[in-house]
Amino acid sequence: MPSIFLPLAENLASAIRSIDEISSFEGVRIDLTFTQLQEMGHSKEESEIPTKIGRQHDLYTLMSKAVLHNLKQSVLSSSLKKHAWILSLELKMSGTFLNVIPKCPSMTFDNTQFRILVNLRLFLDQPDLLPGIRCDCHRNPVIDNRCHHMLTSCSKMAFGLRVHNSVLNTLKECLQSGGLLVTREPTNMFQNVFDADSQFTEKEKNMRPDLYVHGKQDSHYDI
Amino acid sequence: MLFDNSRHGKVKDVIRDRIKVLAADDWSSLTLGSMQLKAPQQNLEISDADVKKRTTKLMRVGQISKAYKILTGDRSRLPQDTWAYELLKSKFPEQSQRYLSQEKLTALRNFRPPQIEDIEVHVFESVILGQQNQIAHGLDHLRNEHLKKLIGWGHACGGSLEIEFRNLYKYIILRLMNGDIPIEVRPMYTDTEAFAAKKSETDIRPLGKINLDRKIAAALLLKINRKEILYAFAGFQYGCDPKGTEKIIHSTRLGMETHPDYFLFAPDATNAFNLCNRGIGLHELMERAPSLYAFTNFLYGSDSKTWFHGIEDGIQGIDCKEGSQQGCNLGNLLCGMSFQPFVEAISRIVKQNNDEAAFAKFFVDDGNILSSPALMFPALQYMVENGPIYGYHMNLSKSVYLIGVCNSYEDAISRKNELTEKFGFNPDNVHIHPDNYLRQDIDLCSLNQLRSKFGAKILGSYIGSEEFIRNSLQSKLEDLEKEAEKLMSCADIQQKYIFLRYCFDQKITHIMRTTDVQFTQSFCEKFDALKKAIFCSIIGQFDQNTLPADVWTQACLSTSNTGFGITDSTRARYAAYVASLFDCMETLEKIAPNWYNGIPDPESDAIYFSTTCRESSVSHPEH
Repeated sequence: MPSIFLPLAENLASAIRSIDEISSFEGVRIDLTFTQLQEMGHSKEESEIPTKIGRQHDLYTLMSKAVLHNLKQSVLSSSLKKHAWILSLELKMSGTFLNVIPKCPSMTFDNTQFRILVNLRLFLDQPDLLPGIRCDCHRNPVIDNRCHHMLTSCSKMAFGLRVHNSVLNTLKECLQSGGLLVTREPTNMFQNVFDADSQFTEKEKNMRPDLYVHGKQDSHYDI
Repeated sequence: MLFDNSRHGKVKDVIRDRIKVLAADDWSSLTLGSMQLKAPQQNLEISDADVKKRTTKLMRVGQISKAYKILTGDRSRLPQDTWAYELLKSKFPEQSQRYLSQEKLTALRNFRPPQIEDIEVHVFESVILGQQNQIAHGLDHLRNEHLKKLIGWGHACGGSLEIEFRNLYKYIILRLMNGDIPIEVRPMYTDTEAFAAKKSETDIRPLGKINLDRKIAAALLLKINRKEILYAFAGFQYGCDPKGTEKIIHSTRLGMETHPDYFLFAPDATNAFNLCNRGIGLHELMERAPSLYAFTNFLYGSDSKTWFHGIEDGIQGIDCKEGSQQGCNLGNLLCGMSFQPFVEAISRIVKQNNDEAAFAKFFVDDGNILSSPALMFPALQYMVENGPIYGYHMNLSKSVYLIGVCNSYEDAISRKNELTEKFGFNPDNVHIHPDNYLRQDIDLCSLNQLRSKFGAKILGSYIGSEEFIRNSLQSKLEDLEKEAEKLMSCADIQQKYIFLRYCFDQKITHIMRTTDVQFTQSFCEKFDALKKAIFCSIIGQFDQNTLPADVWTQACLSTSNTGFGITDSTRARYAAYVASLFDCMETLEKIAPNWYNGIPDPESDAIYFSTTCRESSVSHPEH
């Protein structure tokens, strides 16, 4: 047995106590045990996400849970809107744009786009917005500092349609880069389709799917 | 062969003449020196525009860390000229004297390595598809991305041509792995392209590029025989262990804490990679990892060449008769195998009194020896006398030696003198434990100065006195500040964010994992401030002092949990340190069993670190 209390052991004890403290929050008390710590950490083969592996990641995630909880509580007391915004960001898809590497044009943002996106995510004012500027949609409202008007209610310049088309084009590019043959809005897809009870109307026969993916099992998608 | 950048004479005439010779199948006048030269590098300084172009190109293929190095690294190129060639040539030694006994040589000659019959399809595919893009090609001009295209994505999706290609390619790779290649084409696999990178104002770092098939065969062998390799090196050589550096660092720290009177020796080897003894390496490989022998023997069993492009006399060949080759995936393995008996012998010397705390642990050629004072000198003597047999030539003027607590100040001084006078150590690299000065009449200021010198940088982390560690971390922080400035100057905001998250953010992970938490608080806070500054330059508002706390808190959460995936280093340091110690627990237990005193019975799941330990840490907050 070594002599009492090696600095290495003291440091380890103090680090574990700090993790316990940070990870504990309202109603949840964390008291990590030796066995728990030994069992933590997935190997690359075991982990669902190959990059999220190891004991360090597990411990940091444990602390982050408490940090997120505390953040939500503090935001709730100051702004209900921001609290709702943070809750909506918990949808995993909302942060996907941050995980993409600019490998192709559809995954590359120019500086203005990226800055707007990160400020939106942080519920901050848009730094590039000219104060007092009005939108030229039909009620001419003053654009709010966070530019939420553009996201939620502006119908000017067919904003909704443009978002739809952007998603469509991005999906098409992704599928094509995966080696699939994809056609956008092909015609004559439903000319020979019959409903169980009645034949398609002439109008319905002219419908076009947003995307048509060629292959052994052809499939079409609506965005 | 047809084209020539040198532009001597009219290009068309030169090509016409060469076509005539080629058509006549006349190879009598062909020499490598007469072949196409690389265009001389006109600009040795890399411009901002070049940096932008190159980072964008690397980013497009997912080579983030390479792109980051281009952005933040040195912006000058080393000219590949006669000076570089001569220095490079001097790094490749003549074949060393055969030190293997006749018996061992015969065993080596008669050895028939086990045949590798087949490679599992998923292993074959995963190794090829897992190779990184945009890696410099060898003399074959083939890159991983070319091979990936030919292989096709996923076995199930492959067309008939892709499947045929896979089978044929696997056949070639299998023959390579078994060393079953006709002697006529051997140079295609064993020869490499050499080039020089800047090491200092007066020295270069030799680098090399190898052909694609060699890379694939070696990567497959390493993957298939991973367990065998780890077993062969266990306890001595940590170059192939994924947690190797951390195990050595924690072992050293624990050993010095349990035995403050022990000495630490961190030898620096000269040109170890090129000097390691191939014969010994191959013999060790035969005994310890026979499946790897055939291919390694094919590559290193006889001489090969490395080719240097750039000087006016054309392509020049340098003989490689000894040591590992730069760029070779098996280089570390062969080097480790060559040194293995040497390291084991050192270990036997320092452990001869059944001393569990003493050790000799190497990370390829970076040695770390902790021993009682009585056995360190015999070990040192052995290293000086026998190192060259294995190709381990110590540069004692650069090696670091820490003298532990001695019986008296005079004893410590006499040991230092012996090291400098007898062995040729640089006095500036031999440090005496500060406790040896306690009974001396030294003022506090001088004592602090002495304390701040007691330490060594071991495998990227700092070991020694508190003052030494804090000073080293401060100077590391100054380097990081310069890097942060370069990152902030990046014009592309998306790229800047990716560099921040995946590169800059990870810069201190190794330090956080291997440095006692009591020393990293202020270091991590200052590092977080640098990250805040970069983050503010991304969002286009605030600065590191005015950034709202909740915004930074949100930024430090994962992207799937409302955040930006940036690490809060002040918080992460606890997780990093605990995780690293638990990852190395098995190794540390061998140095000092039950060193985590305070856990009476780990099986009982009791709270570690008993109350007495907590009281102790309160009464002695700083060691």
